[in-house]
This record gives sequence, structure tokens and C-alpha cells, in this order.
Amino acid sequence: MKNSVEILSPGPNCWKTKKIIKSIERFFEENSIEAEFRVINTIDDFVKYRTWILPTIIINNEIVARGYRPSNNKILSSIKK
Amino acid sequence: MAKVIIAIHGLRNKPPKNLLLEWGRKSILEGIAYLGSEVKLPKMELAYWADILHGQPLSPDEKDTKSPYFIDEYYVPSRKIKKVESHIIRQRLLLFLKKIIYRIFLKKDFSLRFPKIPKKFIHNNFSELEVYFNENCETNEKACKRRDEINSRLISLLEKYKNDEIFLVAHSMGSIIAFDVLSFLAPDIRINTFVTMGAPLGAPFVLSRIARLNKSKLQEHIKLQTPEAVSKHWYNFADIKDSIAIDYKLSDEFKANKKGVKVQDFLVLNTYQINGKPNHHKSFGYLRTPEFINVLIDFINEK
Repeated sequence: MKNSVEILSPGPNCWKTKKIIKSIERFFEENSIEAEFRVINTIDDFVKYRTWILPTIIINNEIVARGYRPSNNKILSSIKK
Repeated sequence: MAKVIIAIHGLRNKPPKNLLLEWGRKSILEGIAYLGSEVKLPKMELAYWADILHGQPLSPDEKDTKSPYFIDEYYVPSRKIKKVESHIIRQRLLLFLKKIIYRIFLKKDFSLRFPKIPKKFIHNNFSELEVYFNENCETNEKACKRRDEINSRLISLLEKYKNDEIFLVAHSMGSIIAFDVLSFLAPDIRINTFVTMGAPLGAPFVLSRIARLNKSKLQEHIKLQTPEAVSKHWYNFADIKDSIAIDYKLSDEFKANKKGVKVQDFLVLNTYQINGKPNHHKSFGYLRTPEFINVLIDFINEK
């Protein structure tokens, strides 16, 4: 089952966003987890999630971390098995 | 498990406990309303210690502006909550200054190179810190007793709610007290989220003291880290113009604890001002920042 990873980010060139995506992607690969990544940088989505801390990481519609890479345990608890 | 917010205030004399707590609560509710959220605030407690050092609190009835009990900075709602500006040059300059200051004042083992300079600085500017930092209990027994009493105010609150999920908010000098308590005095208590705001934890004399306490406690190599009592998050909020939280990036100094909890630093905009005069260090301004409200709402909504 494919998981959805959305990253609310100030923009596609944000180094922190890139670093977090790379790290989560590597973790997913190592654990054979399927996921679709989407970087979101529209004001409407920031308003929808009421977030002021960027990047915010949302896995399967659940906010798992604001401003940092979530721990592996936190990621595992949010993914679809 | 019930949830509770425990706050600890910072330097200087304060209004009576209930009033200060009420103003803190109003600031948070203002921030929640701004984000359009409808979360219900859990129980909120305040580790109040101003009376230990000042005796009589500031009085809302005091009209004489020259009186030491006059409240010159009370709670006022913000006219506007704005997104924090990046201040890239200022940020880089502060980080550069930090490196220089550390190089001048701190040795590799975090001991102070010129201990008399910070001692004099604290003596001239921060009498509360001088009492709290006093380590010579034989010559100044009174100061040590007061320090123990300050610590015990927070410890007893943490003990009272030890079976609940605790969200601990520490402002300014309160962050030094909270850090001490969580690291050295009550490390067995579990804190879900630790929030520091306007914290001087990165100041050389504070770092040096933490390192020294760490060394004497552990009898091993010095390690500055998140207190083991913190089980999920440590968030540090600082306004770039806050003159107390000059080191806004504590993650440079403090490593993760055994649970992997590392401090997350966030620059915020403290919009507090009174009679047109801004105070970027004021707790009421920090408590309503959307970034702080974000992490508080996460805590409240966490299952």
C-alpha cells in the first residue's frame, strides 16, 4: 500500500526540506516501504494545516514533525502496513 | 493520561502568581484564536518563585510609576501577529559572535577562561542569577537555601503531575532552573515536551556551569545534552532581537539524549510592546507566537 508523504516547505530549493526528504526516502528504501512524496508550498495548504513551522512533515494526513526529521519510530507508527 | 502545562517564569519581580498565570493563559488563548484553532487548553500550573527573592510581588494597584512594585509590563493583546523575518545577516553575525565569545571565554572542557568577568557581569546586572549561581554554601548559606527553595517549587509541581503528560514551558532564567531540575535534581520525572523561550542557556557562564555540574554528577567526560527526563521533544524559541537569548541556536551545543531527543531551535517574532515600546524578551509575546502554539496544539492533540 502506497503511503503519502507531504512536506509543507517554503520552496523547492529549501536545503532543510531536501535533506529531510533524502533521509526519509533512504529509510523507506531500506525498509521496502512504498511512498509518494509531495512538496507543498502554497499558502492555502499552510492555512489548511495551520502551520507556521516549516518544513512540516505529514505522513498519511497526520502531522508527524514540525521543522525537523521525524524519528524512525514515529515514521513507522504513521505508515500503512 | 491527563495533560498538564507547567510554566516557570524568569528574572525580576513579578505580579502575584494568579495574575501572572492568568496573563500567560490569555497570551496562549490569543495565539490559539489567531490560528483559528478550537483546542481546549489543559490544566495550567505555574512554578512561581519571584516571592523567594523579592518578598512582595508587583501590585496591579500600584499607581506610582517610581515604586518598585509598579507593573510597567502587563499583558496587552497584540495588534498584529506577523511572520518572522529571516534577518539572515543578523543571524550570521550572531553565530559568528558566538564563536568568538566561546573562543575567548570557554576552554575546550567548557570551563571559563576568565571567571571573574562573568561573575562581575552577573553581580552588576542579574542579582537573581547571582543568588542562584552561588556555589559556596559555607560562606553564603542563605543564597544556597534560596536556590534550593526555587528548585523545590518546580520539583514539587513535577512530582504532583508525574503520572500525567507534562508540557513544561520555561522562560528566560526559568529555563536554567528547569534544565537543572530535569538534568540533575529530578531526572526520573518524565516530561513529554520541554519548551524553552528567550533562554540564556547558550551563554558561556551558563554552559560552563552545566558542564561542571554534569562532570561532578557523572564523573566522566563532559557532555552537554538534552536532559534525560525529556521523553519526546525539546523546542527552543528565540526572537533574533531578544538580548537575553543571544545564542538562538542551542542545537549547536546540546546533543540528543539517550532517547534521541534533540533540541529544535526556532526563530520567532515576539510582538510584545507596551506604550509603543517593544520588548522582544517578554514571555507574553513568546506565548502567543504561532510557532509555539503549533507545538502546543500538537501536544494537546497527541493521542
